[in-house]
Amino acid sequence: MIALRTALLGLAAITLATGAAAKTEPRTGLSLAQATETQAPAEAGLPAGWLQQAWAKYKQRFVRSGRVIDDVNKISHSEGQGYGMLIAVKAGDRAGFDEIWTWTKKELYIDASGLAAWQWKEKASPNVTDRNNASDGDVLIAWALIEAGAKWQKAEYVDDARAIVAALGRLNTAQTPAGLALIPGRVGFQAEDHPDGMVLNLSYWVFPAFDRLKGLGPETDWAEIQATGLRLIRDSRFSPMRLPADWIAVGSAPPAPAKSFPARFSYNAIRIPLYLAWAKVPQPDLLRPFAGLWNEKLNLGPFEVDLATGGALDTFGGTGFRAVIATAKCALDKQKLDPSLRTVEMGAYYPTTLHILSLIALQERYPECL
Amino acid sequence: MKHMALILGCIGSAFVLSGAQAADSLKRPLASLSSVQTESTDTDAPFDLNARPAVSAAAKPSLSESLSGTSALTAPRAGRSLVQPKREAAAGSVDESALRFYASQNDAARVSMEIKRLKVLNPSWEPPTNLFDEARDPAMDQKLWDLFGTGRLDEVRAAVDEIRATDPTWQPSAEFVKKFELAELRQQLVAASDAKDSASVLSVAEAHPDMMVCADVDVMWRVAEALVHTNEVDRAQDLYKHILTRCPNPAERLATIQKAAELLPATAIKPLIAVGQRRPGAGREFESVQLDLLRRQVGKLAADPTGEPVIASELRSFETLTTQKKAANDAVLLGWYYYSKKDWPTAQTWFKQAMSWDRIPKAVEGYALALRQQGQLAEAETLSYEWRDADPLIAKLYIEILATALTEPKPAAMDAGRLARTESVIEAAQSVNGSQAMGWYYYNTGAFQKASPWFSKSVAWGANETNVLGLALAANRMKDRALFQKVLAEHGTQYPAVAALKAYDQKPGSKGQGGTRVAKRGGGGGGGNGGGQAGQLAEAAVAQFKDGNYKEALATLDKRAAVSKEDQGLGVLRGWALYQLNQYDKARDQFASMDKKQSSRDTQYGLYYSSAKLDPLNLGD
Repeated sequence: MIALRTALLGLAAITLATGAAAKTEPRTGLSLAQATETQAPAEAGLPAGWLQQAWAKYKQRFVRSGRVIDDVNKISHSEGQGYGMLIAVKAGDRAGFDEIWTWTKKELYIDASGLAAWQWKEKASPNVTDRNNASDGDVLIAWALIEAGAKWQKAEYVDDARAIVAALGRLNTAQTPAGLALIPGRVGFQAEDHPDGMVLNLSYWVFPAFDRLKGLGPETDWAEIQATGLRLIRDSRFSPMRLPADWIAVGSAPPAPAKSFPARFSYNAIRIPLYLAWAKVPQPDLLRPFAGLWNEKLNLGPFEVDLATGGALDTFGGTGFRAVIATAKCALDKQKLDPSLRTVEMGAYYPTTLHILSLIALQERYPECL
Repeated sequence: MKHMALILGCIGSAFVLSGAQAADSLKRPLASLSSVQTESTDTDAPFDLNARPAVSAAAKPSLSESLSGTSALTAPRAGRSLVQPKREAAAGSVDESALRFYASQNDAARVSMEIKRLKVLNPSWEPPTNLFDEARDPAMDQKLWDLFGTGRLDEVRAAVDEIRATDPTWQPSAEFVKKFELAELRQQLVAASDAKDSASVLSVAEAHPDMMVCADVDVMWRVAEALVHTNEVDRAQDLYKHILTRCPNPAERLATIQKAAELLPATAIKPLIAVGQRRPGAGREFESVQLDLLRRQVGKLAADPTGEPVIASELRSFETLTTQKKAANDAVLLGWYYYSKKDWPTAQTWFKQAMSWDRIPKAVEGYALALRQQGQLAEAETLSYEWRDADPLIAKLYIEILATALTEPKPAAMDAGRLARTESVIEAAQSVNGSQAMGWYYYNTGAFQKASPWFSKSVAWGANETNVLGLALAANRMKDRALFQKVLAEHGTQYPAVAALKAYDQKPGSKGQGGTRVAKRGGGGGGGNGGGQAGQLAEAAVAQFKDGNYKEALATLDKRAAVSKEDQGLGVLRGWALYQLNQYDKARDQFASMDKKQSSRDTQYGLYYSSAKLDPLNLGD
């Protein structure tokens, strides 16, 4: 998921057919009151079968014949396919998983690189007009495949994952001034492409996947890549708010907001606290700047933040973003999940996805917060 | 709110941070250790301990140096400065207090909204970049402050280590570190002070002058004490003056004088009181201390008349105040003061005065003693009997008076009522000496059957050589050989004089004991080896003693001593002659030196009574 949430349009290396897509995620209009109507009883843990129910609704809403649809941006992308596969395997839906993986393999893994084309448009012909990849999409897909291989004892999934991990190692990792890093895509992010040096996206470090990747792709030093990601997050505390920009440039140390993008904490970087909390990365101080982004008492935030000043921009549109911050609060302070967030309501694709993932992360790592 | 106003008032408008800091500090329960103001105000400028050369600390490493290496709280903070970078002048006119407050709560949502708001109002304003430097995880910080509040610094360290284990870069707030380090130093200083290690107290204080603030007067007291103990009285004096002129808490100021008065002579305290009273608004807050000082001085003199005398005018004003206030305790004190000066009538007057104001047993005791010293034994006896239940010391005094009467060399006959009263008081008090005196009384009047049980009681309540001797002698006189042998068997090894009585057992019929102890023994043992002249002189001395011519008896004894060695019998006679002449100290020395050579009932007995006469306030029982 590169351009649509980030105005990647300006990048010469990547051509976008739909310039209008460079819009930020609109608000979904899902109010807190609606969400709390179906509030689950305040008991420990989430109700049995919650994930299966949420996944069923999610499929109904966003998945068509194995294609996960980003309803706001009216496209599909490798990230969405990866998220869909991950939720399916967590929900134990093998048929659903197979359907999404089959579609993904057929429609996105069409390049000799062995990496997924990052976006797929229904109305375009061919549906894939840009064969560049987005490394987070491939990481998510590989992770989901590894999980599925373990869950259903199917070596084929693991073999597929191994191929993707190898391709990632080969084509999406590079030495940077900050260390061995995961680069956002095959094309367009190298030092020579930008005046301020190599451009990275810290939300592409899907930390909870890294343990799995380490086991599967020993030819690449995934531990070093993970360490670089954590170090960069620590060093990318921009503005008085100490928040990372969606896109950073690492041409010189320390990192800075990439000049080709708006200097914002926005729809990309909002995922960073989720991945930090979900992974077994014992560095709570990294979570602290994120944990305060939603004031649950006033239901204020989280906001996109202008990193030139630290001033608030628009509120992130969707319940799922609050769930991400709640997950950070739990990881940092063992703060209980706000009751309004216990139930997943179907909003837009992105926040709904993040909401489900947040609840999975809480259930797996911090059941005491539920 | 008062607290906040104080801080804001003192810091002034140049400090734009003060509001948030004050708000922040208000939330925190700053218990015991941290009950200090958040910021020093200029009324609480630290005392400059180093204003004079600090000889004692010159060679020692500063404690801060030795600490900094080990402090878990001050690990270097990578790449971040606590110093706020210079910003546009606009910052001065923008109220950042809310911003900083939200940041201190890690309430990023409100911080970013507030930045947006301020930026709209003041486009040229740049938000401070160090907003979250102080932003802590509130729960974590609160936990630390709570631990800190309980004073358990080791647990604070453990908690910090625990947090660090999961978050290597975590730092407690600068304010916390500062308070913690100060508290730790304080703990060291207090420990050194409690251990009377004055040198360490001073080296901590000298290395950390910021500890010497009114917010923690106790530290200054301890430092002053250390200065006194290292003979730096002048510097201690300066420190006390600093507290008295700078520190606003009246209770602490008063306590300062009181503490100084414990350590310094009265002459050093008077200037301190004068300094304290110069303070604007200071009323008569030190009057009570002045009175206390005087009281202490008088009390000290009462116990030791050789001490520094009270200035006559001050003594008079103390007496006047005592009379004005009808302060019975002070009157008692004055009674003892005059008693110690052997001014019995004045002592009696004050004791009586005290009794008229309040029913204080001490007054009665003093009054009875003063009466006794003036020979008004009957009055003393009546009074102490009346008050015998008010204070064990009065019962003791009563017994003492009666015991003296009972054991006079020539005891007057006692009427039955008086004897019965005495016996009941002795029984109630289980008085070793009283019961022994009863024993001797009956023994000396030939009533051995009555003497024996009293000696038995006395031995039961507290065996000593004389009451054991009495019991053995009474048994001997009653011809109760079983009792006699039992006493010798039980006590002979402990008391040689008792063991020596074995001789009586071998010659049950022999004479030479009993009757009036002094005369018989003196007479019986006197003539032996000095030849005819010595024998005559001994007999003469005994006769003179019997007739109450004690001076002559002494002179005769001296003559005899020139020609022949004085035996124990005559030595005892000499002791009692001195005693009768009120030369109790010489009597005591006489009995003591004899007792040292060969302890016996007679030497013990003489020693006891002469000592008791010398120390009427402490009748050993």
